[in-house]
Amino acid sequence: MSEDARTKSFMMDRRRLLQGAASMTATLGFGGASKAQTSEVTLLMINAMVGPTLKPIVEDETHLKIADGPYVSSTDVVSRLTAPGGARYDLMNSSFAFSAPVVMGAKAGQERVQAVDESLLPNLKHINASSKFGIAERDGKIYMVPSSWGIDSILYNRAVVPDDDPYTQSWSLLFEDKYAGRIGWWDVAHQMLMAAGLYLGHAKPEQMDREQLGEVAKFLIAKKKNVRTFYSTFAQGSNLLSNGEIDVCYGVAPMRNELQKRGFNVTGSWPKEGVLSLLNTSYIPKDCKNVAGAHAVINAMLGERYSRALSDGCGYLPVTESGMTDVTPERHKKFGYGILDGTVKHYPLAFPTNMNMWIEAWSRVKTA
Amino acid sequence: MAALSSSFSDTNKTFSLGRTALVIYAGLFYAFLYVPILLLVYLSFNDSQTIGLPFKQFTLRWYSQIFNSQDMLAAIANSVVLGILSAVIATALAVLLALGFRYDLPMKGLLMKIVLMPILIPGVVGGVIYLIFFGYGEVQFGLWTTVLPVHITWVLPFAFLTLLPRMHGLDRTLEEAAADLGARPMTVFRRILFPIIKPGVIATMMFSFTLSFDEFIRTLFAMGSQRTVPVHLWSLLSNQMAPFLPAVGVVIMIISMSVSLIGFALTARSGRSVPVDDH
Repeated sequence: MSEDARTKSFMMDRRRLLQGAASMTATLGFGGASKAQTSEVTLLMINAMVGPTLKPIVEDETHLKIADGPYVSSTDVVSRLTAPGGARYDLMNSSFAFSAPVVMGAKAGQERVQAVDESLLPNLKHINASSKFGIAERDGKIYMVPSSWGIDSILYNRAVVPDDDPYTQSWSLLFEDKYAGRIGWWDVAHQMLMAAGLYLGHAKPEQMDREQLGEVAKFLIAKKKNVRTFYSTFAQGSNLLSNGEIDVCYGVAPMRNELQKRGFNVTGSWPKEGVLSLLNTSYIPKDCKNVAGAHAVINAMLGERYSRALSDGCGYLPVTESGMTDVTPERHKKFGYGILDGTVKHYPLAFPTNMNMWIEAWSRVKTA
Repeated sequence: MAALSSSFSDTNKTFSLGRTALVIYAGLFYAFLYVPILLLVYLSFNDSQTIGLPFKQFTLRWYSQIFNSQDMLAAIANSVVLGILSAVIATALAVLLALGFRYDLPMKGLLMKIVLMPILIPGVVGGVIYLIFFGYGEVQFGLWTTVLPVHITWVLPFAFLTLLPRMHGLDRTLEEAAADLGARPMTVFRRILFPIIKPGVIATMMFSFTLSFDEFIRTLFAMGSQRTVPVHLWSLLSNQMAPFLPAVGVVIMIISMSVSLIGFALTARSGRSVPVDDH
């Protein structure tokens, strides 16, 4: 071996030095860490999807420990996926319409995740027809797999707001004057502007141009007088609705589920313009440390036990046929299974053509 | 004489009015500070699914829920250990920095600005910086690999700013005298300097612990799946109603107050045992 080659073989570059130091630090005093890694799957998804009644099902079926990171939003999940150094989670999950363009990349070879091994996903064949569009496939390989449906609509206090009022079953409940001073808006640009765009009759709200978005923002500013408060967290919104400070608010399915479980007389409306829906999909980052475990979790979430427990567990809807069987009319109505069989109108929360414009528009609404 | 008496009486009245206004002002001030805290404690025992009044019934179930939650206990343990380590390491580094800043260093002003930069950078921006930095370094995200360095970086400027005035006020002649008598630098530090600055060091460690315990936004960007208390709480708030939140607040307050009390006790002991005046 030449001297140069010998020198090179002994040289540690900056990256390897950092990696070595970090590994040493991580394992110092944590002897079992490396062993634990193979029996643990780290995932980043809506935490309600692996909540107290659902996580045990997945852990039981996979014989793995699930360590779920703090979910912020689909934007955050995708940002972490694209951040330098990799995602650092074994499994990630976010809204399909929002994430697919980034996760899949513009063309073949630009996928940011690894293809799944279909032989490790026997439950893949049970995905229902309504959810199949969430299977992101390219060149015969699958990269994204659906896991659950979420629904955003309007939550209301049934003691104050009648169920069978046409006004109730419309986004007008959230925007118009009837319940002025008793309304709460969620402080999120994407959902609020989509809902307003849908209400104002835009066929494809996510494609609104600057002028149209400006009109929607003007409308929201005009209706802001009806709003008692903006809320930013699940707990805050739920608390406002449950203690009677507001009677109407923008709400997600887990909020409705939680409030009903705790005995509050709250439900969600089914606006004639359509609820906002999102299909959550799982994908395995390229730097996944436990690929087999990630597959096992995806498969378990497509299994019968998880599918049947999903709605009661977090209010979301299953993506599998087994999750749709033996659903009583009451459950069908309560959880919105009509989205799966086409009897409930819904519109997907698609990624806006220019998110910066949307954030700017929402900032104008809030500061007006 | 009568005019003098009247004038004196007017002055008394003015003084009395002023005193009353001061008492009212002080009362409102303390109420503004402490009534929310007392309300939090009060609500932590409220057997209600919502956070707020009226008080329905006394209960300990929210505390029971906290102490029966493995995730919550793990988060508390993580935050406490992280806080202790951050406080110790940051304070040690701050002592060394403050000692160094007693001398004229090249580019001292620039160095000061670099040390204080973490305070100036907004939390979100700092979090993104750490995310990218650790990403390029391919460091596995975890409590001890990424979160601890982040907390030390965040806490260090505060520790330094707390200790620097204390160091500057030290009488250098004591060290010089000790050195003249043959003491080595390490002995001078151990026997002369450290006993004098010990109350300041303890106070700095307490402050650093609190800063680390409360740190949220930078931690969110740099953490893996293990959680600290602020991150765990925020995650709970994002996923459920969390009626146990006041109880969690009380537990955190107790931890912070305990640290402060331990610090005060240690400081008092140090104050009694130091025979040398520092002026």
